[in-house]
Amino acid sequence: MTATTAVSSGKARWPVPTGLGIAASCAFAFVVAPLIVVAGAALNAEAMFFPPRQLTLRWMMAALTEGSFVNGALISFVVAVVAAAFSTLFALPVALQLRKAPPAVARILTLSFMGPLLVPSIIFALALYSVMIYAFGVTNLSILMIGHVIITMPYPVRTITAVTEHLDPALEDAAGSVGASPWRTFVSVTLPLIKPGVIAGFLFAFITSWNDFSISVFLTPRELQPLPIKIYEYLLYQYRPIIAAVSTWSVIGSAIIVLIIDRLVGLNVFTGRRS
Amino acid sequence: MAEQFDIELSHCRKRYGAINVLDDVSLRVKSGEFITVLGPSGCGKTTTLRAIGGFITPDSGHISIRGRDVTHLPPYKRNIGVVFQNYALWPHMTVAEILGFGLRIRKLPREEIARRVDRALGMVQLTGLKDRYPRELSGGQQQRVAMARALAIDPEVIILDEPLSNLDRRLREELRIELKRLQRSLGVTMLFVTHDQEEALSMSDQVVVMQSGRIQQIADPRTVYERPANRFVAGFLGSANFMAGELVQNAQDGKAQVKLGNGAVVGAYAPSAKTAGEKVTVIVRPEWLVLERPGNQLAANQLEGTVGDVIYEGSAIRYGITLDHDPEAPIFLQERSNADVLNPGDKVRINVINAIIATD
Repeated sequence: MTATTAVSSGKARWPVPTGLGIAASCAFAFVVAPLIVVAGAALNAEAMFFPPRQLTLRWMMAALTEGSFVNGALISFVVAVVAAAFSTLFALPVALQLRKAPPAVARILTLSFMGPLLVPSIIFALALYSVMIYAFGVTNLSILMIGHVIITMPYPVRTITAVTEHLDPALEDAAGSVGASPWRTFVSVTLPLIKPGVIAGFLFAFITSWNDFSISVFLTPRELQPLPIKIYEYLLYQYRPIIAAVSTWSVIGSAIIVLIIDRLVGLNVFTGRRS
Repeated sequence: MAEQFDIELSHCRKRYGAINVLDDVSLRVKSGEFITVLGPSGCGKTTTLRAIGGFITPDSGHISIRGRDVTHLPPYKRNIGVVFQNYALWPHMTVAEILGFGLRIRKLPREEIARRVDRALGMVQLTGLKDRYPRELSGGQQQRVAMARALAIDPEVIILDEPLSNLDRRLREELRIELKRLQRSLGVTMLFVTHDQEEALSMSDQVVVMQSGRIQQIADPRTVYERPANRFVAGFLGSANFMAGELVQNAQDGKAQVKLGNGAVVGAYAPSAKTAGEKVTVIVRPEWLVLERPGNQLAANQLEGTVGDVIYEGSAIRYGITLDHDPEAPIFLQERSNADVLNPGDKVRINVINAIIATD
């Protein structure tokens, strides 16, 4: 027994790379490289190079105090929270209703809710801009939020339908049988059970809104620019590592959110529906 | 005053597309009765249960519970306890929370809820598991929690959808007895849906046999088994041999004499009046056939044949027998296994001790 364990662990220590393993490693490096380059550039002392010539955390600290970026981040945060909240709120009834539709209809509707992902976002932004100017005559923060609600909705629709697909309708019937009204059933049974999908959808929507450039560039009022626009405008005139530092912070924030989503999808397994 | 029923369905119909899932279903359940709806899958038994529970509304017909018309009421206004096939226990709640959910909705005081949760747990012998989550319970325990949840709301009736079908055989038989005992001691009216004929026969006061959305027979277990209303009921409950024959004289008072293919004449029960000479099919249960050691004279009610399959079942032994006069239609015979075991190819003589004339 001990011998076999030793032999197999010996093998595991020096695995011969398989084709699949190599392919996966290359893909991983390909995806992660830009993040490393940006983070590396942020550690430069003077101009942006990669690899950095002289390491310093100066710009990383400066990025957190530079008023213009902090201001942009705040605007981005507010827009993203409001847009993600509304798109999640709208996605909820959509996902719950899709579950009750006949499968063929549900499939078509699910695809149409993916629509905003299929249209090139710059074209979509232009269209939205003309509609908004026609309807309201101005752009302001709430119009930007409307735009973001539209582009972010596919995510909560997707994550919530993914969870509701596995939700046994008998759980809701059971609540009805002991006297729970449909609303009470939703609050006490449905919502707690689909919560991981709802939160994951909200966070995906948040990240999408936070990082959005093409919608924002059309619908942003001059005096209230979200962070991606701030970064863009800064780059038009200057080229200092602080911009990489700002981006690095943004990436770190997004990464934390992705980790939370992953944790939630993991939590889903622990709700004990499969036994 | 007209007799009041705990559950009453009158002329319920439900169609899905071209299929009649409920085809003129009428049934009445008296207070304190244990009634089983039995049938193969797709026969409409679960639809019947879902209609009573309020999860679907029949296209036409009426459903009343204790005299109150509930046909168009949603489930939450019906006060019916439901036990689901897969238990449907809410995974995010503890046992105590699950049992107390319906009581919290009814806004009962906290001590009263605790008292009733304890009482319901006591009834299903699960005291001490209050703080467990469903995933921490065994299948049998989950089943009991589902039962306790239905009991806790003090319902007018309890309906159960194949509640034992996900358990292994041993546990199923145990819970069957326990459930029946509980029902009798509480005097609660139960409607139990199953495809398991053994469950239906052993637990029920009344058995409703359904097929293709129609009720085929409603009777006590002995009657459905010994006096099946038609071929379907005879074939679905237990096993049945079908033999062709002819009436020797007019059937009267349920009694008839039928001449089988080899000329043997057997006494049979006739559910309806028939005239002499009419061609009939008789139903003979395997245990209504008794092996006879070969003698000199062939008696009036005897058949002759050859043993084919020999199936040993522990407490009983079944023989597949090819009849001399009709080799196309082999029959089954059942005997206690302590008798001498025959071998394939053995010649046998069979006494037909009981038969029923089949109607369609």
